[in-house]
Amino acid sequence: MRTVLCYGDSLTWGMNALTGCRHGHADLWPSVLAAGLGQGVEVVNAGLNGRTSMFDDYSVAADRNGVRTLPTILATFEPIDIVVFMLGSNDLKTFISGSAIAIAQGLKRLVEITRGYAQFGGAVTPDIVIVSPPEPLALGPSPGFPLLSPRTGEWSALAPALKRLSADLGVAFVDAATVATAEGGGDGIHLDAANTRAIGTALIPVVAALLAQRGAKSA
Amino acid sequence: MKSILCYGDSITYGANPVPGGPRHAYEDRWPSALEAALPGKVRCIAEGLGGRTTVLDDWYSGADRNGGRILPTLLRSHGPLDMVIIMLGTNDLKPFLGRTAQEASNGARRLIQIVRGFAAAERVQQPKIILVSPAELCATDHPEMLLHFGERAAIAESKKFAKWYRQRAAEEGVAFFDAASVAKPSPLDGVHLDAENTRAIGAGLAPLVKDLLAL
Repeated sequence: MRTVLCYGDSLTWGMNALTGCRHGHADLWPSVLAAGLGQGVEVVNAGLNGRTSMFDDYSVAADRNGVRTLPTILATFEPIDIVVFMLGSNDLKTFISGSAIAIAQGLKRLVEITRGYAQFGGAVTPDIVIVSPPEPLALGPSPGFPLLSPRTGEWSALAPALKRLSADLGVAFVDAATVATAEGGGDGIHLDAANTRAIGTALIPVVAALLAQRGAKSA
Repeated sequence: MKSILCYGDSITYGANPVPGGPRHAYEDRWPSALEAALPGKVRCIAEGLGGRTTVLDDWYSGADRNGGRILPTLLRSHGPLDMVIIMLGTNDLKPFLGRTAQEASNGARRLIQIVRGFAAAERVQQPKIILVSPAELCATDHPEMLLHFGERAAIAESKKFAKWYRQRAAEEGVAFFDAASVAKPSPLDGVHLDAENTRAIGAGLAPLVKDLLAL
């Protein structure tokens, strides 16, 4: 059994902003990825609403700091073949005010934790995919989602920053904005079912190729 | 389809009693066995972490082993949930934590409170809760594993889990299951379960889960 860990925020959890509920299980992008990869691969959905890359947010009972909880999640699902990170949107909230550069630093730290964690005897280091999240449609105060930073310019800097980071770190990169839009999602941030599924579909060949490479290496 | 969070330690993770052995195969882990026993009815999310305690800190690991601290995060991450099954306490017996089966049951009670408080605060449905008293420990030739837990004293203490957990479950009004009634530890390390005994916990829980969720 191969294991793929999907570490993300409400876009991974599958928030349906129109209903306030979770999208159906089959519509979640990790589920679509699992269906595409087929038997023999367990895809773990570790999405948490409001999760940031590396910032504290005490407005809820859950621990939203992605850096703090990652080691625990890695230990729970090890051995892990692939970790897919899709984080960053929540870092741009007004009370967090992460810049695109800060998000890239958070993702860098998450990659370091993933690589540094698996150093005990016999452990395998996972391969990593960084996914830049789909672009919010209306930044700044809005009735549906008045939380994002007015630093609108930061958003357009995010995908290039994460792409550069991925190249520097030697991890795979996917820009989800090329396959999914928040249009029709209801609040400018969250995705409808079709756009949620699209992320999973786009990831299938990327993850399958990494798994095949690992298979070849271990053979 | 009902969602069940299986919250536990290395027994839920599926650690192998064979020293250095690999994690038990996916289908041999007890949450997988429970899901297989109720096909198409339940989705079991296995949140088992080696060394996890009920509510005690243990900084020997990079992972956060305090079961009380990480639980709200997992409740949100895997919600909405129809049921939470809690099987923790064995690691509380470790000498440096200095705990007893009775104190472990109090930690388990705190976890029940966290589940209920979380659902009340979020105004979501209260999940059904099953409190599982952990499997017992047994004698072994393994040079080290049982020492982590306090050797003979831990074996004796582990036999008290069922009594205290049953009492806590009754006090809190949650369902109770005794893992020791269906699963025996492996003498290979005195603590962990072989594949057959691991699966037995899932199979043993299935009738109770079926009943509680009216499946």
